[in-house]
Amino acid sequence: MKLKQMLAAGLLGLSALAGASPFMELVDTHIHYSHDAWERTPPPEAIRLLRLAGLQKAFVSSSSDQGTQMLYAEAPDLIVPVLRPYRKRGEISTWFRDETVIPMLEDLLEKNTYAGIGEFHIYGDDANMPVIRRVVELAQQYHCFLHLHGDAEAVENVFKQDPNATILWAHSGFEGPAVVSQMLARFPNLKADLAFRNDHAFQGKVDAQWRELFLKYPDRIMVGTDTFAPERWHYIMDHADWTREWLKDLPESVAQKIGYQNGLDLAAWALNK
Amino acid sequence: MMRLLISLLFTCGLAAASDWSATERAFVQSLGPWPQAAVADASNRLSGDVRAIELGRQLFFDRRLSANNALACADCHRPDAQFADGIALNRGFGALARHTPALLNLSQRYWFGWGGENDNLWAQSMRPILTPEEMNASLTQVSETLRQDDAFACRFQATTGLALQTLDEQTQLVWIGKLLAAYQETIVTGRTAFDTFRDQLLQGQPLTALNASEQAGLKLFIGEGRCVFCHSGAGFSNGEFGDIGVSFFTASGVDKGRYAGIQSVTRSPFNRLGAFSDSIASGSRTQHIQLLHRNWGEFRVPSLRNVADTAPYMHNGSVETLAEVVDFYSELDEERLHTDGEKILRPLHLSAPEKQNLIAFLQSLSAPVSAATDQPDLFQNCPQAAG
Amino acid sequence: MTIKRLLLPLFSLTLAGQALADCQLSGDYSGHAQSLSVGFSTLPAPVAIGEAFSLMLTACHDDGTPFTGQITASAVMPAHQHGMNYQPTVQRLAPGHYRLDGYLFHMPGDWQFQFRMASGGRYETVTVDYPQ
Repeated sequence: MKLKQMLAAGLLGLSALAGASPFMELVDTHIHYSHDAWERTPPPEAIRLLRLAGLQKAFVSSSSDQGTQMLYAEAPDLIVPVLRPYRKRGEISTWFRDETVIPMLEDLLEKNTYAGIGEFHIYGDDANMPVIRRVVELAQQYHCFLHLHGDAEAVENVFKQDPNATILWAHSGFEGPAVVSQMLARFPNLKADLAFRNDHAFQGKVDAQWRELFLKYPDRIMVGTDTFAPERWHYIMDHADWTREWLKDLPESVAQKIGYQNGLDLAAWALNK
Repeated sequence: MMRLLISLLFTCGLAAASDWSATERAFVQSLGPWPQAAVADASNRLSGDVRAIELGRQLFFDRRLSANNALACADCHRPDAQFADGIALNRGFGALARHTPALLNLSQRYWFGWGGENDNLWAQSMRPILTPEEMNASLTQVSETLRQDDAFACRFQATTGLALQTLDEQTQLVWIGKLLAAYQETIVTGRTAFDTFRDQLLQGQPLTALNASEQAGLKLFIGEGRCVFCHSGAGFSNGEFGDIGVSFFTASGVDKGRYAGIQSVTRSPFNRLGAFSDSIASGSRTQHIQLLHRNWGEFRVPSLRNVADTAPYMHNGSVETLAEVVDFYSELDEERLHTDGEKILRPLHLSAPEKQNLIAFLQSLSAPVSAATDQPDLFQNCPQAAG
Repeated sequence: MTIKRLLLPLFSLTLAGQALADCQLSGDYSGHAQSLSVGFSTLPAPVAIGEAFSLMLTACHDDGTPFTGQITASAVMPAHQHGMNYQPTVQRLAPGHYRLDGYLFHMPGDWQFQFRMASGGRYETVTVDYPQ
């Protein structure tokens, strides 16, 4: 065990030395830091909570992007900035019809560093509308992944536009393991996060069908909290503990990939422009 | 527009039975009958026992269960205030982060506490005694106080068949919890105007028990308002937990609500599956409970019986009046809620008459509260109680 | 053999068109996946909102043999995209016969039972609507 891991475990009061599995520093790929979050939890406190949770990296997207920039300035070693196309949280179902989103994104992509564009919500044929088409082009131009919250049809539509796009499928589309597995098989550049999902593990045991998926695609799955309301910043630590519990039920090499390595690799790919 | 017309129609005159659709009748039927048949708590063998009820009643008003003999259960759960306290956040020995709930119709419930920290009333009754911010007593203090009370020891033996002195401190507290529970189960609300209306509707009688405004409010409650999705059944609660977008920040962080409640109840030695339970079989819900991400910040769906008399509202007492509760739902901040499908909760955007109707209906759910009273003849063979 | 196992055939109802050589489906509800079928009844029936209930379930392969694999059970409200607050446990009583405990519907409306059937490394999911 690395000294850093031991210190982190000690800080959290976890019995890492006595346990069968060492404390794992995770990469959380699904964090939002929106206007009401930063009002209540200022950047230094937010960074403290992320470190307390034992995270190596946190993928952060915010409505507006100001939240991400504040956190990135506070801890560039920890934050992986992702550009959300929302000015405020209420634009979930309207953003893709709003063409003023594009110049906003173009301006920010030119000015700042981003690993991805998202998390954005898009379903079915809406993924073929002009705004989302331009977003896909921008992702290619700036070597960003797309953090897409939507159904399988939307994922397919984006890959039709750009077969070389890289998509991180938020919540794995809330699909079951059979569909997720089919999608991963069809699209080699598709990755999936498990944010706000419980069905893959119950009381620390990984579900059998999900286990098969994890073992078949160990390089494609990541974990995340989804801090969709400001109080949920305080959930990051509990979520990390819950995640470590079920990761222990997987072979160590697979657990490490899902727990942090896949997130590190995606961040490295995206930020190595 | 259609909703406004319906609202005006009801406000102008009483509706006939034919104005209630089959679906509406079914929903109205599901909100009764009242009162419910008394069902003893299988996990508490003292549940329903007359001696236990009386001894529990005495303990409920006994300040010796707190540090410095300062507080009794009844000081915060006041009989003259629906067995609540009427203020947002009370203080015991320290500041509290949760609103004091009214202790009404508890025998109908499975989960107790705003986060469901307990799956039975006796364990929930033990909790405030030892909580530093509430009654702040210690196991040893409670034990010593009661052991030195010959009258209590005699009554305890007459009730439980056990000699208090032979029990360890923890077991003594469990029995105190079970006695307190037996009394609290007797605190019930009576029949309301709504209950009479329900019977009238089901029996085809003239619908006189609720006025036009109250009936319009009921239609909204079971219809477009979707209130009945969670406030269901005869107790007007599904007995579960929800996140309706009320902030759950506290002075020191957050109140994790149901998430911490599940962690607490599943680990508690005092749950229905534990050694102190008189029926492990009654703990099926506890055995099967799932810890879910959405449990974070969920709080108990409260009963709406006597809701007009139990202000303020929400787990933290942050909403002062019933009118403000209706306003809260009318202008709900759905951005706080994470849902992918059809939204259960959505802003109702009610008109002023609709709000008045809904409030009128909620006020029709009030009735007098009754509870077990002093039974001086029950323990005639024991010494007189102190005080 | 438990009393429940002895009693089970007594309240079994054969579903029309589902009679199979060695395995008989029973119950008030039924569903089919690629290569197997289930039949079940709720205990009690009908289900009351907010009250715990169980299922007695039979499961047969299309070739007429009883299903003997693992069942993972859940129920969801499709319109609301949420499931139950409880995770049912599954007990195999005999080949093709199961008892599922720990269900609770906490909301009125249309629910859907979901049974993921695992056998021989193959998964099939049976869904059965339960309208209210």
